[in-house]
Amino acid sequence: MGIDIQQLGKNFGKQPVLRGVDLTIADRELVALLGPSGSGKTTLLRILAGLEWPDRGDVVVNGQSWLNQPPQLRKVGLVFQHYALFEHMTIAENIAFGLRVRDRKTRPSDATIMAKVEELLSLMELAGLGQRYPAQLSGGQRQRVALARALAIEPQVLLLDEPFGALDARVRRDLRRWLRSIHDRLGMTTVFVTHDQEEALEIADRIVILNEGQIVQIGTPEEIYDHPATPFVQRFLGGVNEIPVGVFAGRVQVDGIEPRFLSSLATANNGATLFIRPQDIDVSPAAADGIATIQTVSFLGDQARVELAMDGDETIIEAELNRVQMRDDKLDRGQRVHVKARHGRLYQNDVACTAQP
Amino acid sequence: MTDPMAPLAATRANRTPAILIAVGAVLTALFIAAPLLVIFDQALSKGIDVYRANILHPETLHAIWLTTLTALVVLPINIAFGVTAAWAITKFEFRGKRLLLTAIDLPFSISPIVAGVSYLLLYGGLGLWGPWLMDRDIRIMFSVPAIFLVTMFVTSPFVARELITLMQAQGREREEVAATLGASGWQMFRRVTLPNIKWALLYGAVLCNARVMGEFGAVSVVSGNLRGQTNTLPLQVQLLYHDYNATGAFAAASVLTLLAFVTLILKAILERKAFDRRS
Ligand SMILES: Nc1ncnc2c1ncn2[C@@H]1O[C@H](COP(=O)(O)OP(=O)(O)OP(=O)(O)O)[C@@H](O)[C@H]1O
Ligand SMILES: [Mg+2]
Repeated sequence: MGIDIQQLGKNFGKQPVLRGVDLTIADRELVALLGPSGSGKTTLLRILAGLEWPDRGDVVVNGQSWLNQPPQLRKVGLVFQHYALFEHMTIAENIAFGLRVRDRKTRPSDATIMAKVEELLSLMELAGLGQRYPAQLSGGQRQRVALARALAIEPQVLLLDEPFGALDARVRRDLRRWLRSIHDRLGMTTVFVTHDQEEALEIADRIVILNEGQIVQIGTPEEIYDHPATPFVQRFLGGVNEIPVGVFAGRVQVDGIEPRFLSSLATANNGATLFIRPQDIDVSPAAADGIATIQTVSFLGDQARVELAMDGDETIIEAELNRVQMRDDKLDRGQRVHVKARHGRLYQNDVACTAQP
Repeated sequence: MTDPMAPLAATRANRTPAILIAVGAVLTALFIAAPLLVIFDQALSKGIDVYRANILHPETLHAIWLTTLTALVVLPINIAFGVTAAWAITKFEFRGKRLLLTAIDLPFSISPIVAGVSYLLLYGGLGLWGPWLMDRDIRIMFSVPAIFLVTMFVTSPFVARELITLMQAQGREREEVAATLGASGWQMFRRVTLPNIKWALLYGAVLCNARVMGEFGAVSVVSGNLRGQTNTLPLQVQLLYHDYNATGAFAAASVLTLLAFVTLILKAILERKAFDRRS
């Protein structure tokens, strides 16, 4: 089921929380809403669930506005970060809830309900836990119960608000892959909120980046990662070097780093900011002719994070280097080095002015 | 997993808990047990026959009946009021919410006597609506309905206060999930909210009941103190005491105390039952 979000606006008191959000979500798509804290992700999700109403704009599903539909009729599955399980019911009763509350005419028989619960329990890898209470489960298990409870009503739309936020890194990784496979198997439209960019990049079909109630960029994970539309997106996707540079006659001027990839610029002479990811920096040993000194080396597993102090203004540039390579090149603290950037993006007045090579 | 008894075991080495328990026991004996004992001691000071006669006196019997009736009328109304008010305040957004919250606390913050007097000024013969009521032959002041009304007013915050604190802490997410799963408002309340608040509700009801039965100030203003007609137990106790019938006063007081015990025992039984059902 596709969802058409049109010019959605919402204020809490005087504070604008959503400022004209336009987004079309295709049937069976898995969309991640990504953005910093307070950017309006939860508010948008709650409007989709029917728990909050916008001041302006519309949500259109199957050609009809959803805004006059109460949450009971929307058939959305909703999962909160802290699960919101019914603590006084067993796991089986939690999952059965959405079927039990139907009126007599549409309510399945007890046997059908129990069969459905069993089916969901095994789908969620929770078999045998049906008679326990939520307090007797681990965090990851509770999360799956919350998901099973939402799926029991066979929703066409699944809404997840930071579903894995409260779990440890390993469980998160497992659960998000598994969420992707459930999504594919059941053929729903899924919108999930996260502020973990890694999570979004890994499983989403499309990522929507929100900031201060506005959409900054919409795209596939590749598009977002390779072509961040603004410095905000670039920063949000993870640590990046920001180097102020001059532009003269269409060429970037920056000491030491050889930005050959930036050969043709169609911009006027002016200042700009060059963004280079730590992974895109090559470092090689130099004698006295180097342009930087290795200041610190920190361990990241196969990689190491290296801080380079540039000669002159002593700008610090971060690079991520392969540790084997570093050993071969005898790169260590205090070593003089050459620095080269393989890729980078140039922004002028917050607008990207070069494409990726 | 850590041993849940560990912190207790660790403190057992020092004497602080023993001292605290002793202080608690002494204070309980001095300020709670002793006055209760005095009531029964005085009530029975002239023998069991006098005690029985005192209690079976028609005026006292009527006071017992009126107090029980007041509880039976007021308690359900205040429970219903408390639950709906707490539910509305904690689970929904609406205009005038602040005002409602303040209004709920009002009876706690004004003296019961003042409450009684203001009812008198509204419904009394010389009061604001008095003449209108009199024209229609409706008598509220100095009669049983007046007792119901002021008691209701004075004891209305108990249940609501107890529930609001808890329900605010519990948040709305469970109800919101229930709504998306298709639960109607009533189902949401019955299946999700109520099971999570039932202990606080019971506790609030017990507190409310204790106050309903014991309320003196407001009731004394509006009841008119008609013996055998509008006297509740607390009023009867005072009346007998002023009549220099100390034994009678203490006999009536002992009934009030026993009613309180009955309430507490009922609460304990309910708790026990619910506990058994869970385990
Ligand atoms: N019920 C409310 N009343 C008033 N303000 C609210 C309410 N709910 C949210 N806000 C405000 O709206 C803004 C957006 O909130 P929202 O919960 O949508 O953010 P979010 O993107 O989900 O953030 P997070 O990542 O921290 O969960 C915040 O500034 C928040 O303070
Ligand atoms: Mg949020």
